[in-house]
Amino acid sequence: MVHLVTSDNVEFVVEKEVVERSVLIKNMLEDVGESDQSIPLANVSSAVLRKVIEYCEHHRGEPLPSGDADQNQDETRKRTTDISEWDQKFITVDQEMLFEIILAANYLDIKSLLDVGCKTVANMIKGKTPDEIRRLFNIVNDFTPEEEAQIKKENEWAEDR
Amino acid sequence: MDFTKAAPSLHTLPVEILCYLFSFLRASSILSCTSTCRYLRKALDDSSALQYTIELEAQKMVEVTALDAMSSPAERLEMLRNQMCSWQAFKPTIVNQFLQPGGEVSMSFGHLSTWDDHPQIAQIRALDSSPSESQPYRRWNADSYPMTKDTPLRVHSVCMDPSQDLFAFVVIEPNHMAEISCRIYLETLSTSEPHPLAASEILISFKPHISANCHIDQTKMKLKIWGDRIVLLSFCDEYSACPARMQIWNWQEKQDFKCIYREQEPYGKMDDCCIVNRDHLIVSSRMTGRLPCRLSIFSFSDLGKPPILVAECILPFRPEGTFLRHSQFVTISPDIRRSIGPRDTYFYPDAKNQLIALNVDGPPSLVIIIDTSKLLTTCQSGVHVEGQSRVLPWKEWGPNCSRCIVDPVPNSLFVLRLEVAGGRAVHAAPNDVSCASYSLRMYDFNKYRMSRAAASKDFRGRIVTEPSTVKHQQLDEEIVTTLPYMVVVDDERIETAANMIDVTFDDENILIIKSSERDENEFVIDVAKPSPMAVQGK
Repeated sequence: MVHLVTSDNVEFVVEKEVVERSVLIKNMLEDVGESDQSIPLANVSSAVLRKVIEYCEHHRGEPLPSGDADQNQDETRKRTTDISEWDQKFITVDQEMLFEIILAANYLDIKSLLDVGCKTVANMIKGKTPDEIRRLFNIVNDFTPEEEAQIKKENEWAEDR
Repeated sequence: MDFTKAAPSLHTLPVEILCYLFSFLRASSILSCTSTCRYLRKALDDSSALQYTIELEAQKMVEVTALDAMSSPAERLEMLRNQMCSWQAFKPTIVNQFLQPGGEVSMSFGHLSTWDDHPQIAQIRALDSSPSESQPYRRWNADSYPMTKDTPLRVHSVCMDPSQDLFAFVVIEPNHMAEISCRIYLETLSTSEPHPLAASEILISFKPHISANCHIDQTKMKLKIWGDRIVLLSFCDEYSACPARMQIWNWQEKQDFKCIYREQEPYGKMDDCCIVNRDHLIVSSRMTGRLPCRLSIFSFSDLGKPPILVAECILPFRPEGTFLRHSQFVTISPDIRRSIGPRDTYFYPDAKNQLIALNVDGPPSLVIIIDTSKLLTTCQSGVHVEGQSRVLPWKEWGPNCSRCIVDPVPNSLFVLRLEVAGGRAVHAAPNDVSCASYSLRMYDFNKYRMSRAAASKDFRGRIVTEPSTVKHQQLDEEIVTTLPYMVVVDDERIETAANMIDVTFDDENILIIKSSERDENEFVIDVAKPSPMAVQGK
């Protein structure tokens, strides 16, 4: 069993096989060796870690993606922003949690979870105009009208397709 | 508001996660994001990798990279942008000349392929080899093909795809029974062995005929390849009561799924076809009782089911003499890499949704250049009745999706030589009836390249956005077409002693194909390139 302590000081005790889906933790455990010392995760809150562990529990035992296999697969990746049914249900959370999960997956180095998060955001963005995206994510438009007109002109070629 | 403590959102993600997230999006969506605020805009400005991805998609190109490639995304971005500009300073200087057997000529993936029907010889040649190595890359002769039976091999259509190292050809089984079957052989181009990706060495077409009196019109069989898709169009002659047939396979799939479409009417009027993306193809047909000349758009995403006729787009002319031109071979899968060559990265037009051209016999001859991605969008939008195809009159699709170009010499019997490849078209027209000199023009229909050129100070070409009107005896009525394009090479004069037969090109070469005086079954091929100065210059 592995002890993890979150940023809000909550301790989680998780099976090694589950927690090792995080490449970060896997490498740490390999470096340190077996120990009862708890691992502090200063960037992850307990609410987020609970979700992450839920994900790792579900996907335990699945092969980890190899690091360099996915270079050059841009095309296939773009085509498949599909997400499996369980993952879809899992990632149906509010926006704050969604981005927290993405940040945590990136920090903990869980590629498949990072993919699920990024694909979800990508699917939210697809087909939307800049204005719709601003409203969706509460982004404040800090361009001057001139800059905005310039950008619009530059991007004209990409419209209507 | 204090953003540092705000809940995380898109515009607070670290740049490296943003770039990863953007890799799941198409260029238009990435650009929508980066036009929302300064932070996201800066992520794009700072990442040459992201800019490079967008540039590739904008120019509708794909890269082929050597395994040991050293170039960075920033360097590739520069190469790609320079390549875009290289044609603007084009002067037709012939850098190479070689002889090639006559026949059908096509060019893709840096290779030139010819298929000669008499005698049956296929030849393929890499164009980036230096002039001294003018040896053909591969020569295939039907006569030397080892056949199990004592009958000579007679090939009815071939398809060469150097990007997949695939050589496919159709043979009709010599058989005196009413049921004739076709075989499609799938071999490598380089070694003539069964293709390693092929599910089986031979695809067998279904037994097509309904009566013993049917005769396949062997001259008109068409074989087309797009990635893992392969299409065979076969026709019977006008004395047979059979419909034309279209069969589609996934040649890499073990399951013997094929999807078959039979034309409704006997003596099919299908003429030619081209696959425009993995799920769609376009068939050109001549006039039948029901409909005038038209382009039919089929969707075949599920090969277990018959193809769905999405729409029939009516063409505004009557004649029989039309043919479809398209670049058919550039389908590059990510695992194709070239380890040799002076550069480590090559760029090719992406095979998806490119231009096609319909040539209409004259005099004077004319060409309709069609943007297939616009055409597909037009056909798929609007009201659909389940299970019914739409018939789109010319006015509903033509003006927006196409541009009509007419041979500038009036009354010439000359057939307009126009080739499309990627988003560009090259056009050679004689300057007078004697055909002693030709004018070469290159048009670019890519929206992004047009907008970049328009913004550049040194752009010397023309951008044509206004509608053009064409009147022609072969046309039912005056037609107006509006697809914008840019004239990249304008009126470059080439003198030819020999008769020009055709012109073809890719992103790095224009090939002028002339008849040889020595042997009428042979071509003299001139290779013209943009000057290297222009390629390196800014």
